[in-house]
Amino acid sequence: MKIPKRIASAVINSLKGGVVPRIGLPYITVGRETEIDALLHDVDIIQDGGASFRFIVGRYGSGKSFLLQTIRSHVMDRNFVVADADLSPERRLQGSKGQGLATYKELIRNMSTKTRPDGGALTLILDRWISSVQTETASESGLSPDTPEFEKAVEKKIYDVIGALNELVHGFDFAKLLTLYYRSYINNDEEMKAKAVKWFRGEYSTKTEAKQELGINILISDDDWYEYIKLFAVFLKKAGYNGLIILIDELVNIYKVPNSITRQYNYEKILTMYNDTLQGKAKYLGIIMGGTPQCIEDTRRGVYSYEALRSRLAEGRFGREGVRDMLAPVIRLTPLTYEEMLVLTEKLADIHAQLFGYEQVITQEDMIKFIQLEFGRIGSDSHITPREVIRDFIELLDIVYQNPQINISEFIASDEMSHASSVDESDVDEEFAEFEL
Amino acid sequence: MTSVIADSVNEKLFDTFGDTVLLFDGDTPEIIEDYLEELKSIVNI
Repeated sequence: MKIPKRIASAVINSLKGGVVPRIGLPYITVGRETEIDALLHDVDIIQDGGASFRFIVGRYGSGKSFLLQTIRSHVMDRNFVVADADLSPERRLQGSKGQGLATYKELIRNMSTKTRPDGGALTLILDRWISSVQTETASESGLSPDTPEFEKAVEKKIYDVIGALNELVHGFDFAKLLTLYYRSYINNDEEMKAKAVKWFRGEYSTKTEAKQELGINILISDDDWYEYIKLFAVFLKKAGYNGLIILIDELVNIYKVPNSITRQYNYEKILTMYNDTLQGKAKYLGIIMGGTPQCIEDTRRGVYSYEALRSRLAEGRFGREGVRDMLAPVIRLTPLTYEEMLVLTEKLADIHAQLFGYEQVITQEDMIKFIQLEFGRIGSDSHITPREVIRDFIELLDIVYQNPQINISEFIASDEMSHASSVDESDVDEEFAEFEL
Repeated sequence: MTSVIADSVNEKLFDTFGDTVLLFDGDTPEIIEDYLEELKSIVNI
């Protein structure tokens, strides 16, 4: 399997640092077929004008973010626009100090397409849309691009798209800005284009500022940013994409909000999104959120503390251990099997050898030994995660590469190989995570 | 628009390379070095 060097480097460096790479995931994905199939089934629905909402639930390091990023690359390949954001204390779904808007800004900043997978695709999407309308008009009408008739025909098509958005909530404002962008594109007015993009990114903080620069008295705010996400989804479909997928990770940050009223407001926002997707109020939109079991299931502070969500999301009477319902809104990640971990180490060894340009020396027996050792650690059945195993394995590969005299099997068996130790407070056992007197 | 043209080149070459070939961060598109040789062989330079 040949892997481009820049992708190999991104994969190895990210994994060694304990984070999920944003590119090259198809080269290292193992297992998770059922989960991926379930999520891609949703994608088919979205493509046909539907919407979906899913939670991916798993422990720290169990592969939630990995699955989210894998889905990201799958759907980009299927001509979707993807926007992802990690929640943090400053980025929530709702807040009184712009925390909701901060999430929106992050989502728009990370907007990616197949050919712009690193984010920042908004301007390209808008330019591509106008350019494709021009090409389409030229081939349909046979008019020369220099004639005023051609310009009129293009404008008609542009307004057809914009007009369709008018009926949605805030659609009129959104359409106004699209018109503004189109006019500045045609007039080569880069400055005005940049200002329109600034508005779409939610970067105007006051109405006065927007009024001065754009002549409009509206802006995207903490309260209505999600309405604009819905508008984007419909617009993107009209601009030639299959829809918009939103990925929101680190839901634990809502769980960590100390104020219970603020938490409730955030869960209310999730409820709105959930209801919208299932009641047909959102179109061409998929939302996937990732969180730990605790931040979902805790009835005191988690998502389930909001009764309206708990009663919608909790497993029904027939849900039980070992029987999985992949059509349910909550997808629980099961641990990777030994065999899957072995396949993963084989892939990593191959990528590592290609990246540093050496003949692979580690054998399959060594890898089996390594996996046995990792899973043989005390408490590994409940505590070891792919993240730690991967970090240990890449460390092993790095050491062996730099010290070719080392006998790998002896080295693995010896005590010299130290395991990746987590320093993240989030890895603390749930039972000891917090206590109150 | 240069960015639209660069994007369309990336789109056309995506299946061959499994990655974007042109980077477009500033004003001028740049070929990613890893793919330069293969790209040359495709266009016979």
